[in-house]
Amino acid sequence: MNASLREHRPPLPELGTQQDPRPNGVGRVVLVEERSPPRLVHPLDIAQIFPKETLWILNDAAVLPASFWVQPEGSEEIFELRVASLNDESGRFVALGFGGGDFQVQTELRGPVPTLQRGTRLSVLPAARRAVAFPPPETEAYLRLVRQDGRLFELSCPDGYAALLALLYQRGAPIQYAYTKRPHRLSEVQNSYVGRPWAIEPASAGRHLNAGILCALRGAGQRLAWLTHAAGISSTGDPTLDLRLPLPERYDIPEATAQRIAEARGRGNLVVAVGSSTTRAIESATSPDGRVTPGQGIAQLRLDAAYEPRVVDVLLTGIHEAGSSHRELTRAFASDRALDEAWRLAAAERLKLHEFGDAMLIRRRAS
Amino acid sequence: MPHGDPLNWGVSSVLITGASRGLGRALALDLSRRGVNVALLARGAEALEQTVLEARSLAKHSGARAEPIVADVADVAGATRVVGLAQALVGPLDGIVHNASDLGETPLGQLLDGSAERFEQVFRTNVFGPLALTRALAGNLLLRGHGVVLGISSDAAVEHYPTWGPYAASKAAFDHVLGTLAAELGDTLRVLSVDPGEMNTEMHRAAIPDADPVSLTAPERVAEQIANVLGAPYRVPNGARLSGAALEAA
Repeated sequence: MNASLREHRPPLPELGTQQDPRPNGVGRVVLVEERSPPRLVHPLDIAQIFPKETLWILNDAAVLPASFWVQPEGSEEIFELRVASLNDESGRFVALGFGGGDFQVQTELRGPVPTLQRGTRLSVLPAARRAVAFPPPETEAYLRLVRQDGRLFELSCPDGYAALLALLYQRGAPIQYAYTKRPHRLSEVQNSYVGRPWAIEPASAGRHLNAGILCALRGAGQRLAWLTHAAGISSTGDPTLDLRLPLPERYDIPEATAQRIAEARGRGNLVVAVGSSTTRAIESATSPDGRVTPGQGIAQLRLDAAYEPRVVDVLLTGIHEAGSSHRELTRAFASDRALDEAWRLAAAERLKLHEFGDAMLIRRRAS
Repeated sequence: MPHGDPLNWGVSSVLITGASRGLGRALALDLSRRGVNVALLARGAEALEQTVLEARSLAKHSGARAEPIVADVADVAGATRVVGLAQALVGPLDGIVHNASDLGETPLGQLLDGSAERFEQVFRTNVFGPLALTRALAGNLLLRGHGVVLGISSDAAVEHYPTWGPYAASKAAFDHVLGTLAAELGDTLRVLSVDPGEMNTEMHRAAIPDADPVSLTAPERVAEQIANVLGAPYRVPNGARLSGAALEAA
């Protein structure tokens, strides 16, 4: 939007942040449509919003315990690494490093990381609170540094992918947000229907659909389909690195899902994407003629206000402030006017921001 | 129900608990022979490693995977991690076999004499843990439209045998959990219970040390029957409790 043409917009009220996870399926939803005023929808009524045969697509990626601490061989210094990109089963991956401070310090303010030589061995430290169920780690676990570029580390697990995942599950924790009051457990950030742990950050729009609500959707004649997408890091704490986001993220779209999308489009049924990660996967796999190619791929698309969705008609997403990267995608679906009105309703109803908060269901203008 | 040919749908990737010995191990090997990917959970790393090596050699021709997860089913809070790791290693999972069991204090004794803590421990391994694992998996099975949740039960869950108190009560409880799940989740999944009868295993020896092994069934035979069920679970009614002749015929 051209700043010089922008009308004066009255300042928007503030919304509070939902600091800690709540059970799945309790979020309230603001329905945003261009030609109607926004309205508030309660969880179980989500199933009644759209007509029968509306297709809801969910990202079934579970959250990986992507944060862990390391000590370089021969050094006393320890620092945190967060998986940023893990797109195959080679045992190699990219991580972001954070020095002094812990998760309660905003990523922008975390201390620097040491500069290390290629080939350095990094000892992966046992978790501060041992991940229950697994026995205490008896052996050391190492990663090898392939390449470092500032905060960005390319790493390799010498024993391969299975060993890397076991290491993360035994010694890692989910990436935490600075705004939370307490560290949250891996089980608290999972959606009700998760499968393979491809997600580095939660596909948090999915929190709004628990087993009961999915059941209600089916009962109301809505159709469900799934894909798996490696929802990734949304902020690095480094403005230069942030410009490279989102990083390439792997996805897997089953044939059945691609077929359901084709059927929905053919019949004029709405396609609802649960979350920006789902949207990114679908739109990345869509050719200009609107056909979704099934199979595995790497999503490279940047979805911002200028993007014109080819397949997705409705986006379910959290409530985020203007200017944030999450907010940008919503501007591809609705005008700033409609989004501002929705925000005002959210404020009046005391809805909550961010990953554990409430939601918006945004119908694309001209859909 | 799975698309296409539901009656011939069978599992391709399964998580088995208590997989390092007895029925769990026998089932792991049978499924590996059939080309099913298996994630094998047990507390003892060495025995589990042995089972994994055997499973992998049986799976060589099919390329199916067999991966170990050293963990304790009784640590309920760890269920998300256990299932997450299993999904990462052999996923997407389409089934779970709740086989790991805690017999309770041995030698078996009267309920009135047993410890409350030990009673709770039995329930953690036999009920709370398996339920937590199921919760971490079943939503995905439902979303994908097919899958199996299978619990290993016992006729102690149905009869009232003196000295079998904690174990029997826990098996009855979990049978009921499975039955309720079957009713709640409808026809999309198969939620089943299997009573394998008396088998020639370490657990049986711990319970009844002087039983005559000749009178006991080989766990391999039961494993084969369970593997048959997992190979075509939609031929069996949802919520079924299979034992004896019905298990053989399934």
